[in-house]
Parts: sequence; C-alpha cells; structure tokens
Amino acid sequence: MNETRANETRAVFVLTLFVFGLMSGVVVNRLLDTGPRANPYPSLDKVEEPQPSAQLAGALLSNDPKALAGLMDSDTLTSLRDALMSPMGAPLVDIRNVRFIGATTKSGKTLAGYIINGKDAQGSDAIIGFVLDIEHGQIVGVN
Amino acid sequence: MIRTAIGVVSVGMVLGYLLTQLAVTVVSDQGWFASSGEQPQARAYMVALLQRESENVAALRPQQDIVSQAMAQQAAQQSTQAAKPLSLTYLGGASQGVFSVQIYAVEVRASDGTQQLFPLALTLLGGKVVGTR
Repeated sequence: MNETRANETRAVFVLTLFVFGLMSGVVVNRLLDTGPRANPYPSLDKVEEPQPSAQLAGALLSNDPKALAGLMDSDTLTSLRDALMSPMGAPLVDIRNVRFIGATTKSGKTLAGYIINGKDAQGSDAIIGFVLDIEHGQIVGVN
Repeated sequence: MIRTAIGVVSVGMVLGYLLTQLAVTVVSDQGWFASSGEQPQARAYMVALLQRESENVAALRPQQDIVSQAMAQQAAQQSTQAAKPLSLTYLGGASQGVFSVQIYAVEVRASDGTQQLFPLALTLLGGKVVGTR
C-alpha cells in the first residue's frame, strides 16, 4: 500500500518536472526569438485614401466598366488589367472585395495600396495586391 | 534522484523549445492568424533587397536554379551604384489561405541625384516570396 502511494507520488513528481521543463522550453524559445528584422530606413507618413483611387476601388467593386474607363487612360487601364492577375497567373473575373490598405506621399506623388479578393478565371479563390500611382489628382500608373 | 529530476526537466525543456519552434514555423508558413499585419519574412526580404544581400534574398525565395541565382547576383551588383535607398514604408497587407500579399513603398535616390518613390507588392507562399511586382 505504502509502496503504491510512493510510486504514485514519484510519478506525479516526474510529470510535474516534465511539465515544468516543457513550459521552460517554451519561455526560453520566446525569449531567444529576436522577432522580425528591424527596418533600418525611415518610413514615410501614411495619408488618407485619395479620392481618385477610392473611385477606382468603387468602380471595381461595383463591376462598373464605364466608370473605370472614365478614371484613367488606355495605357493605365492596360496596366490595371495586367495587375489584376492572380498569383496563379489567371485574370481575376469575380471581384468580391476591394480593400484600401494604406497610402503614402512624397513630392506630389501618392501611392495607394489595395487588396482584392475574388475568384480567378480558373475558379480559384485569389488575393491580389496592387498600388495606384496618383499625381495631380489623376491616376497615372498601376503596379 | 536529482540526476533523474535534471534529466526529466532537460528533456521537457528541449521538447518545449522544439515544439514551440515547430508551431511558430507552421503557423507562419501556413498564414494562420495572419489576416493582416506585416509579415517578418516580407520585412526581411525588403531589407535584404535594399541592402543588396543577394544570399538573404535568395534564402527568402523558393529554391531557384543556379543560372537564376547567378542572374540575381549580377543584378544586385549592378544596382549597387545605381540607387541609394532613402525610406521603406509598409503600406499594408492581407492573407488568404496560404497566400499573403504585402505592399511597400520604397524611396531611392538615383545615381543622377533624382529621388524616386515606387511601390513593391510581394506575394508570399509558405513564408517564401513567390512574386514581386
């Protein structure tokens, strides 16, 4: 009887030590993790969503080619078409969501970033990021 | 008894460390819980790119053939005098499934003294940069 109790106590003790070691390993791992690499360069200030790019996002979301055509010239439209390719290389044919993620500006040039979720021509879910280049209130480029 | 205790704690620690590392790697590679926010791999890629660390850039890319690696090295060497990075701004990003898109704005001073601001959109898959635009 006493031997059984001693064995149980010993098992609980060993298990406690093991759990303590396990938790210590987790803590050590987190302490040694240096995190993401620091950005050695300064960052530009973020700005509000520019109106021309907001209009473009609205036109894409509402599937309005007429509005889209009025917002940019044919070269920029071609760039936009090229930008709306899924990571698998298929064009995005069903746009479900267009989300503004941030913009910054320098010397009269504003870059506005967007993320599009939808389905590509192969029927696969796709996520695409693109950036609009805005100068003097006009969309002059798409990346 | 003490030797056993030290052994059990040590085994637990090593296991805890390795399991945590495995969990962090899997969560990061699969894009779980990463619907928004800057991904460490994307930041590391951008910094390596701007600092012309071609080996670090290659490490964050999917495995490439030797000719592509040589071309990347050449491009990095040729761009050494071409432009000096002035700023690196994270605009934002999002994840869907295993894919993640991270967008940056980069400001450089070209060799002729002009300053340029241009965007770079990274597509990440499994912690590797599979596309830049």
